[in-house]
Amino acid sequence: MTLPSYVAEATLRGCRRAGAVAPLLVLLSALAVLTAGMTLAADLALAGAEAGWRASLRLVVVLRDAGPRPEGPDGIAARARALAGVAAVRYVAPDVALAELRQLLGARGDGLDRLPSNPLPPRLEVTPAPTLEAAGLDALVAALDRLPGVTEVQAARGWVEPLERLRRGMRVGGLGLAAGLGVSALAAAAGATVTARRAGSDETSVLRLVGVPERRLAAPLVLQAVGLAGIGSLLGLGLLVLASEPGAPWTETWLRSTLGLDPLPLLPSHWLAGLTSAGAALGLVGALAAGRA
Amino acid sequence: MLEFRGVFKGYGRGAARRVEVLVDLSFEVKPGELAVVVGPSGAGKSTMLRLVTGEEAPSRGAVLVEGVEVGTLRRGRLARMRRSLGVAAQGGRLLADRSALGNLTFVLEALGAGRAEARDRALAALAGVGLGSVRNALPHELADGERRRLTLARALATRPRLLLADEPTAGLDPAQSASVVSLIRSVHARGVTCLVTTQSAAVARALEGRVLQLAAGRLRPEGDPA
Repeated sequence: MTLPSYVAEATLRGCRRAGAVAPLLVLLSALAVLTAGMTLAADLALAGAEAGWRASLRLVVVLRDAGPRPEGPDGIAARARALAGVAAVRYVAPDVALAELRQLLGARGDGLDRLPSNPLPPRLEVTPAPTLEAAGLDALVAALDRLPGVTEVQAARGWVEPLERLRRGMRVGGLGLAAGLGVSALAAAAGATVTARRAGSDETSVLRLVGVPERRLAAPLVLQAVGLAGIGSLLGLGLLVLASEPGAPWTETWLRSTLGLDPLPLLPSHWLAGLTSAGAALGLVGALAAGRA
Repeated sequence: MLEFRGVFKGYGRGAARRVEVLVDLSFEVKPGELAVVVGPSGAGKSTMLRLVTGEEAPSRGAVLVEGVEVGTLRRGRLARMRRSLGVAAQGGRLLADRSALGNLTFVLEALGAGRAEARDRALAALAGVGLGSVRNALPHELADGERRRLTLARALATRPRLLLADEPTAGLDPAQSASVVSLIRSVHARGVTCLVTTQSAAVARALEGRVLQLAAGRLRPEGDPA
């Protein structure tokens, strides 16, 4: 069939006519996809690490007086469990606490048997909800502290807020940079379209005069921009895969020695497809914008 | 086939700046007819043809091709209407980087012909205008008369029902001019309706068609000597 081959040839001609703007569009699309992908992958890696750290995060509520029925329906454990942001509460009686300490110390815990009385107070071990942000965690600590019979609340939570800030900054910075590159790619797509259209204006005027439909005249210009942006997106995707775990056999040493990075986790396939489509869509939007101008 | 109904075409705004190129132009070209519009440079001949192709719209009046008013057509229908025309514009609008054959196959393939079909039709059109032997030459390698014939070949390769030829003999020597005239007559003899413009009364006579005289944008009554 000739029409597809005509459109394909006209598209390739358009790519050649776009000149230096064509490789620029490929480069900018690749960088936009790579930057967005690396940001999302790094965020995914941090989210995984954070989930691990969060799983072992406990708020230890030291009790002066646990009351007569600490695990009863009106007891301190139930009241702690009712607070917002609490995933689980475990009451640890003094004798259980001593037994756990003895187990922890092993042979070095012989001295515990010689103590005249159990010095350990009762306590609650509170597991915060995994989605609780730093501000919510602070509010939970304060609420636990206000419960009756509480001496103090111990929580190794100093890392939560800086990590949140790091993730937020990385997302805003990385995705902002990707968006900037995307806008530049869009402008390059529009530029490539305009350049190719101007270079082929003689042909277009001849074809228009013999009655070639406008859509057929416009299709190669649009395909050219989408194709170039698509090639850039695939290039960016390839680089992203090389920087991820599947590419690690080839790039792990290089990544560690030059950038000091471990391979990133591979993004889910629908994210990768979305990034590639978004990259190619930059070409489409750029070409359509140039067509309207 | 083609009809001008009280067509005016002017440029510029305001009475002082307004230039009327065509004034109350009314005539009809019947199917299978060869009409020749004769007039001096600036008479409005090229503008008249651009109104037929829809490149420009009349200020007033209507231009009808096969009963359809060109000025009211939207893009899609305008393109469809143009496919019934063969336009040999003044200057040719030949693509400088394509061979004589390439100038024709490019258009035919863009219109949807298969590659082999486009080549066959282009070769036939080139042979029909006597350019078969120079099919691989670039336009600038051809003589003026050959370029005119190439322009006609491209217009005819699309198998038009109406051929519009804008001053096809301008600047040609008598022999080349006679060859182009003969070519147009043979196209007309095949049943294609033709509207040809020229500055030369001799060319108009040689074409042996109905002569319309255009001066300062107005048609002289037929039979009125210039």
